Order: sequence, then structure tokens, then C-alpha cells
Amino acid sequence: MAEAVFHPPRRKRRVFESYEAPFPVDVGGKDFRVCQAEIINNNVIVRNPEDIEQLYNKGYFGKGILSRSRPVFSISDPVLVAKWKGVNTNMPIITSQKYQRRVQWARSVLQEQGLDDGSVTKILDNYTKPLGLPFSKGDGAEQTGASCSRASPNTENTELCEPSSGREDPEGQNGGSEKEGDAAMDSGSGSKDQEKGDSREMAAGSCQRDPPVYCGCEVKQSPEQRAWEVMDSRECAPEYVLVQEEEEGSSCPEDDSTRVQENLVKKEVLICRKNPFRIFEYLQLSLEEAFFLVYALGCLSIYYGEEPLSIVKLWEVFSEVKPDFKTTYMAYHYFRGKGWVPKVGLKYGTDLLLYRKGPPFYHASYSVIAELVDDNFEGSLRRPLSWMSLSGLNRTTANASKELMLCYLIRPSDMTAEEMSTPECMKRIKVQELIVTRWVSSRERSEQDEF
Amino acid sequence: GQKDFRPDGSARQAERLRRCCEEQWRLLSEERPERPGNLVKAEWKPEQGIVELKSPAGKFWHTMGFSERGKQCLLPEEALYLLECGSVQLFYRDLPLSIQEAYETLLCQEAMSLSHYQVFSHLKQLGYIVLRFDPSTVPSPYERQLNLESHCKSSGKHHRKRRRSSSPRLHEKKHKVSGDLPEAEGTSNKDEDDCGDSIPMDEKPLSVQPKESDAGSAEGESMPVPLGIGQKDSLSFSSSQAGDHKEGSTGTHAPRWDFTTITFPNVAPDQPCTHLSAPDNRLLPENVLGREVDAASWCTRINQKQEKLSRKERKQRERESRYKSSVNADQEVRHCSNWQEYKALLERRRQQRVWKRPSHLWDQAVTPLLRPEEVTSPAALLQQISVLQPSHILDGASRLQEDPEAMKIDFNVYQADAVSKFKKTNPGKPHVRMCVRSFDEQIPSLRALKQVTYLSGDVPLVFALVDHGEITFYSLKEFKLPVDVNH
Repeated sequence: MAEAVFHPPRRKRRVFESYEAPFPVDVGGKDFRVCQAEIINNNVIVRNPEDIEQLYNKGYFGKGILSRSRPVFSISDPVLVAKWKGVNTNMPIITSQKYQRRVQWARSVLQEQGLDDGSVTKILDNYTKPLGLPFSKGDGAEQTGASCSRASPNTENTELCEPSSGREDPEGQNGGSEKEGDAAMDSGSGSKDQEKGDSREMAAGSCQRDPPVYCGCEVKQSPEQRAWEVMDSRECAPEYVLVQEEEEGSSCPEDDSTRVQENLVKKEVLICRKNPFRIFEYLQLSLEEAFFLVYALGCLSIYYGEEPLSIVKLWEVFSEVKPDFKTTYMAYHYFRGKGWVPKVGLKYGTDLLLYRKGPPFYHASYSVIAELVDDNFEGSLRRPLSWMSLSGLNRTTANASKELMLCYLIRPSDMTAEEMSTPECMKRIKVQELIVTRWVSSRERSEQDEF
Repeated sequence: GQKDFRPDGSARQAERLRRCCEEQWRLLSEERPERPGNLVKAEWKPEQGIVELKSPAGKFWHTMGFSERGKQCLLPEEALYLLECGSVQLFYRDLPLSIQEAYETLLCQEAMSLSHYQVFSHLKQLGYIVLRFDPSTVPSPYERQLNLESHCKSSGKHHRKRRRSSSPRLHEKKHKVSGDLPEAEGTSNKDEDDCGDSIPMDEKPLSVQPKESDAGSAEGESMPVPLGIGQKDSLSFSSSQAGDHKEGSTGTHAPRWDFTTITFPNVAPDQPCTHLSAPDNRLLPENVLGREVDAASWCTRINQKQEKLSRKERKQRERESRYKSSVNADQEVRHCSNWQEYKALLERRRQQRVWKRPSHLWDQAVTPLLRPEEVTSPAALLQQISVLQPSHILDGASRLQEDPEAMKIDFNVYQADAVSKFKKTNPGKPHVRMCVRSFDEQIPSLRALKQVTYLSGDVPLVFALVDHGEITFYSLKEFKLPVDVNH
């Protein structure tokens, strides 16, 4: 009998990230942070941006719902960002068209609230008015309109102006001092009254002015909107964007323009405005990931409504949502216990993909199918495979430079349903790993065979 | 030119196909000239299901055929193969068999179906030596451990000298990991013999372990010699030491004394307690009397010597005194009347200091696995959360052997470059063993896999899948994912 040889995973050629920690817990127990998640429609969602960062950066748990994996959603247009390279800013840069679309969406939300057109227009115009000086091409860092990227002097909270994406660095590097009497401040102090009737997104903006407790939302009339205001102060912060627009009545002759046309040059400038329809990206955790964070590490609390759920309850609830949850969870737990990062294997037709250290560093090494059997080593299989299907699966796996692994979870026959109703049953479960390999009979190959 | 991928109904395509078929038929029907002198004559014996040679065997006799009652014989698949090669002429009832007839006639047994033959032929053409599998030739795990294989090989030689180090297995080694864990790491064969096999230690039959994870199953074999089992499993992180597994040496007994009621006087210089009450008679040995006493006079006589510290010690004391304070200066500590209370106080303080444990997780029947204050390294963390136990492919396999439904192994395959040294009478250990299966069958269950892996002994097993003449080979191998801690 020969055992499969372990082939160390290949490192990715270009790694853009640095490794923080294997798990979102500190070894030693200091500064232990318990993150929060909620169950919405049978999905586990994390909304707090700090929690999102913690969970993703340390262990690669979850997936941003608007991103490919790491939550990096931004409405910024990369083409424009490249175009306006000279401008030193962290704010997203979008086209005027895109911005107008958002204004439209905000408009329809306000209209749904029953406000008449006049008020809607007034509110919107006020909210979306330009802040600070417009950017032109060739503007240096001094004119970054630091005003709009700084907190108002009314509050201490300097992080409010972070764009919604997961970017860490604060905008502080936008130099320049705060300019008094600018539009940002004006709109800040003066608009409190008007913003009382705002939609949730814009009222969110008013939170910035008041201490977080007195969210402008609280003075709102419609109670159903209160339900949305579970956000913390950070989420209430308005998002500032740079909108590329054509300047009317340009008066900066010395600036170079992007389009070299003759006299009537419509100069393109960047104008800082508030985004009236902000989209928040959340982190979605798979059921296995969520349960692992709660049960194995104890660093996550999952709420259903207002109520945090106990471990046994979660085990039960998740098993109802996904009938094979226990099987896939046990495999997940086993591989996490070995220091590997399992992610969902949907794209390869299997249950899990195993990464060493994390997706950014190494290519996934193993594609795993998990099956639960009794201690006669038989059981009703989730994926009964013929040799033909196995062959096909092996082929696609090999094409992606992965190895196909079968993971059998062996459960003692005397394990009752009651015992399986808690995750403690795992202590009596054994795990058998098998690797599927193709044997090539042609003679040249057999010399190098690992047999 | 370009391949045609599907029928397009055109006349040109039909014509091309027709010409290809014609060509193929023509090639097949060509007569292959052979020198009649070289052709070995052989006769098919249906009652015995074998082929008897009527003239002396040629070169093929080195790796094929067998002798029976003085006659040279071939197995049906060997004969058919040689017929196709043009090395033998097959007769049945005095008439030569055509290839077509030979296929039909010789391959009607259960042991050698068409698919079996196709695998045989495929491997032979690649130069492998292929023999039928015979379960009785596989040494049992017991025999392997005693290295009887080497004795079989070197029959007639003296027993090799067994050095002490070569029989570690005679010591009964109790291993900590639960249940059956053969030496998954392969070679810790400390034998100096050059059998060189990595001996997969079999599980329970060979040791007198009190704990049986396959509870309820009687031992298949009761081996007289208690042999220790896999000494190491360095990859196992599971804290699988179930309480009942230990011999009870660390069992917690209820203490005989209630220490909360027994007071011990403190006669330290800073806490003079001069009145010592009479000790409880039950604490004293029989002929010893105790009485109460006023130890004041004694106290003046103890702690006389001035502790003279070396300069280094003094300096250290100075340093420490800046940061340390007497534990007794703490009022709360003073309220503790015994160690138990003191420890509880420490625990409370620690909890307050560390973090607030969410009660919906911690005040429940099932709590999180990780206790962060207890782990000091990532490896320790992994150990705390690893509760699932590893299993080896051969675990529990021995008790599955009596199953009549078990899969059969078909061939032993030896490598082509072993031809020169090959001895039919003593072929040695094959390179691989083959199980011939069909493509649309289900893959073997774990149970079937264990059975057949055990049956194969320590030789790797390959499944040969036949699909209308196309053959693919797969194997399902035991694997243990290593633990990855040092990122």
C-alpha cells in the first residue's frame, strides 16, 4: 500500500497582500474581539466594517457581497482614476452620468416617502451641491479640497469621510488645511433642519454633525425607516465622491485641458459631492465559516433579530437550512484545524477548496468532496460517483492544477441522533482522506512513478 | 487535416469514413507470415481451462506460463496474447483457431473476461509482466512484521541475525492516540534486514489495547504475541485521549481529607500565630498525641539567621520591589481562606481583565472550543480546536476480510525492467496490483476500498477501467494532509 505524496502548493507569482494572522483571535487572549453577524434570509452577514476587516484579513473568512472575494467594492471608475492620476485623493472618481443615476435613485426613494417634488428637489440639490473647489487636471495636492475630506469641526470623528470600500488608510494624506467657510461646513451647519426629512442615506449624513446617538434619523417621522438605522456612526458617514463634469464657464486658462480643441474648450473638472445613494458592502459568511468562528474560536456572535444564538441552536438552525451542513462542517473544521484555509468548492464541482495560508498567497491545492459514512464504512452518499464521473472530475481538477481529495467522515454506528444534535459529536468522528490519482501505464512515465 | 467532430451528412465525409473502414479491414485481414518453425503449437483444454503446449516454449517462457504434471501450460489470456503476437498456434480439436475464434473460446470464463484480457494485453504490450493475483501469496501482516517475506525469498539461507533494535515491536507500546493507527508514516522499519518494506502496522489484533474504537467487533485474529503499534503519529493533533482510555492513573479520586476544615498554622515572621490549637486526632498516627500549645517562645527562636543576600540578589530584590508587592497586601487575597478560594479569585480577576465572555456562548451546555488565554502559540491553538480524529485506510480493514462480496484483485504487475531478474517461481513483490472494473460502475465504497487495500498487502493498488477498449487507470490513495502552522 502506498500513500499519496504531499505536493507542496505553488506560491503565487505576484502577491499583493501581507499576511496578518491565521485567525481573528489573538494568541494569548489579550484584546479579544467578538465580532457580530446577523442572519438575514438564511444567510450570515457581517455589516460592521471593522469586523469585516478583522474577519477577512485574519483567516480569509467570508466574501464581500459586491466583490470577487475580498470586500473591495468601490464605485470608483478605474479608467477615470487613471486619467486623473495627478490628483491625490482617496475618494472615488465617477462619471457625471453615474452620479446622476444615483441622484435619480435617491429621488425615487424620497418620492416613495411621500415628499412632493418640490421638497425632493430642494433636498437633493442641497445634498448634492459641490463641496470645496473643483479639481482640474494639473491641480496639485493643495487643492484636494481637503475640506471635503475632513471632518467638520463639530465632531471629533475623523474617520467619517472614508470611502465605503475597505481601504484602510485614512484620507489624512490629503494635505492642506481646513478651509473655513467652505461649502462642506456650510452645508453641515445650515442644513440640519432640511435634512430632517431626508431619506435614510442622506440622514445618515446628518449623523456626522450630531453625536452619533442623535442620529438625524431619530427625528424622522416614518417608523419603518427606523428599522434601517441599526448602523453605527461609521456607516452613517456620507460618502464623498469626485464627479467628473464639464465645467461651465471655465476661468482657469493656465490649466491644461484634456481635450485639445480650439477656443471653446469644455474643461473637465472633478467636483466633490456627496453621494446621495450610498451602497454598503457587507461580508457574507458561509454557514460553515460562521459556525467555525462561533464554535471553534468563540470570536463571533450571530444574531437573529435582536437575539444572539447559542452554539447548539446554531447547529440546529444551520442543519435545517442546509441538510448536509453537519458533513460539510466537519470537513471544514478538520481542515481548519490543520491550518489550511477551506473555501467553497462550487466552481470545481466539489465541496471545498483548500488553500495554504490563504487565497492570495498560494494556488488552491486540493479540491475536496466530503462524505459521511458509518463505521462499516458505508453510507448513503451525497455524491455517488461512477468511475466515469470521477474521471471527469479528476480531469477538471487536474486541469486546474489541483488534486482531488475524498474526505470520509466515519461516524460510530452507536451515535444517536441526539448525540449528533450538538457539535460535540465531532469528538467521536474519524476522518479518512484519500487522494485520487491517475496512473499512467506507458513505460516512460512509470519510471517516475511515485509507486 | 482538421478532425471532423460530428457527422455532417455530407457525401464527402461518408466517403472518407468508408475508405477508412476499408483500410482497417484490409489490414486486419492481412495474413501475418510467420516461420512455421518458430510457431509453438498449443492445445486448448476446456475442461481445465488452460492451454497445453505441444512443442517447446520459446522466449516467452521466461515470464509466462507454468508447469503442470510435467507439461508446459499457458493461461488463457497468455495464450490469446501470444496468439495475437504470432508466437503460438492454438489448436482445438485438431483445428487451428483463428483469432476471432480464440477470443470467443478462451474468454468465456469468469476469471478472464474480455475486459480483463484487454487490460492484460495493454500492459503486456507496454512490457510489463502480468500474473494473476493469488491471495494466498500475500503475506499476512503478522508474517510481514516478522519479516517472513525475507525468509521466503532466501529460503534455505540461515536466519539472519536479529539484532535487538530490530524487534522493537515486541515491546508492547501503548500509544496515546485512540484506536487503530498503524504507522502511517511508512518506514520506521528498524530492521536491519533489507526486506525494506514499509510495514503498515496492523491494528488491534496485534496488541492488547484495552480501548477499542471499533467497539463491539470481536477480534478477527487473536494473535499470541502482543506487538506494539505505530509508534509515532506526528501529524495527529487531536486531543483524543478520551478519559476512559487512560489506565486510570490520573483518575481523580475524592480526597480523603476535607482540607477546608484543617488549618495549618502560619508561623512566618510577618504573620506570627503563636497559638496552635490541638490537631484533630484523626490526622495523627496512632501512638502520637497532640496538644495545644503556645508557640510564642518557639517563635522567638526561629527565623534567627539574617538572610545574607549576595550583591546580585540584593540588586534583584531592589528591582523587583519597585514592581512587585506582597500578595498578602491585597485585601481580597486575605479574605481567601484556602487555595481554592484564592484560585477562584484569580480566575475572576483574569476574566474581568481579559474580555467579557458572551453569555450566550459561554453559559451554555456547549461552549466554544478555544480558550484564548490558554494558548500561547498558533500550534497550540490548532491543537485545542482539533477534535476530529484521524483514521487510516487500513483501520478496521482486517475485520472486513470475511466478506464474500469483497472486490477481487485481478493481476500482479511487475515492471518491465525487472524482466531480466524475473523468476517465475519466485516473482517477488509486484510493482502494483490491478483491479479491473468497468467505467460505469460506482467507485468503490470506503468499505470496499479498505477490504481490497488490505488484501493487497503493502503493494499499491490500481483500478483499471475499461471502456470499449480504452483503458484508464486510477488509484485512491491514503493521505494525511500535513498541519500547516508556520506560515
